[in-house]
Amino acid sequence: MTRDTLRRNAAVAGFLVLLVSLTARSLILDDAPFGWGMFSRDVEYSIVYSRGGAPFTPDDLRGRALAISGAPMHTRDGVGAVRRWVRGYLRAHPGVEAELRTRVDGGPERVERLR
Amino acid sequence: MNAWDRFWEAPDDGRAVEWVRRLTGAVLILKFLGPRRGVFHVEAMLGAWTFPYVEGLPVPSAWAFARIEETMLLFGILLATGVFVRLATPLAAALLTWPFFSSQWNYLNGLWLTILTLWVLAVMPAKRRCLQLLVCVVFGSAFVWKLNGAWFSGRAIASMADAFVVPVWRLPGWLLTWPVLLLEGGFPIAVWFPRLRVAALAAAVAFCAAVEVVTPTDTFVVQVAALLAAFKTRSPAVGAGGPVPTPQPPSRSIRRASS
Repeated sequence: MTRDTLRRNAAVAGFLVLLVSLTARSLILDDAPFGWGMFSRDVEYSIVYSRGGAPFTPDDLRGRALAISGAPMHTRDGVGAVRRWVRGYLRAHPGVEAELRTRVDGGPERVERLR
Repeated sequence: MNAWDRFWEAPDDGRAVEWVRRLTGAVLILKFLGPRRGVFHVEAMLGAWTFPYVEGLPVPSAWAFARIEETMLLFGILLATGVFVRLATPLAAALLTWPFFSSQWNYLNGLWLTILTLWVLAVMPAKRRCLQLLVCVVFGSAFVWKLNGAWFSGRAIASMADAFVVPVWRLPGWLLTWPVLLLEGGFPIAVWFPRLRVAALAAAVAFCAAVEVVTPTDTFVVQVAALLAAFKTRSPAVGAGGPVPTPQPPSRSIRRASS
């Protein structure tokens, strides 16, 4: 096997692993955007942020980030995507916690605390 | 030569990759020109959190962000017209990757697909095969994600009524869900069979057009449609990775030039 063939095989194998990993990650975490899981389920969610037990409304969310502002919202990106967005905000704001309420396709409500 | 090597070393005249490159350039022009430019206001792009694991990535300033958009528009024009593509393609890939991971652009799976396409065009060997597999994975993933009760029953469309600008939810749910499932699941398989390829591609293009009309996706399906050009071929045997076509004698102009 020539060096060129080895290089090609390594590159395309890596590419295939990336594509499969992205899809698997999205399915496992229920986080659609990086695995192209479009329009799977409707997720209704709302978020309550608290600091030291006292709820507050974030005033530093702008643009698309308003999707995690707390008001009841809908997404088709999966519950995992909402968790990722909220955790991104929490990572930038130490000491803040979030209560995430989700309802998939009009089913029972699920409550979880993120920190 | 084994099947793996035959697949990756299938004859390729480069035209399909050239088409994908030009159409991806057109997607960039569409993205960065007109009402969709910037997607969100520049101020809203900044001040947000960064992508997990790359928090150290510097966020471009509002001024830099505007210049990035203008530069991406220039790269889009270069790619679409086929000028300086060897230089423009990797630069466009790198320049788009940076703000994607450092701003709210990472919400947009359409941009993510464009970034992957640009990197394939820039650095990957066997570009056509990689692009073909990429578009098949997009359809296949979308299909797997929809394998749930809400889609089988048709409830999914009704629950997403607010996402559609055309009132398709008034139609019976099954009338929309089953064709979508059939296409997204069938395309990644059918497109590899020469006899089914044209029908599969036509159905996929029609599907992309319908999705863009019914629920605009901010150039996502336009990029998917651009990737379908990776299956463009003059000879079914070439696209199928079949036998190497018989070499044709050089054209009259080439003979004249060599003599």
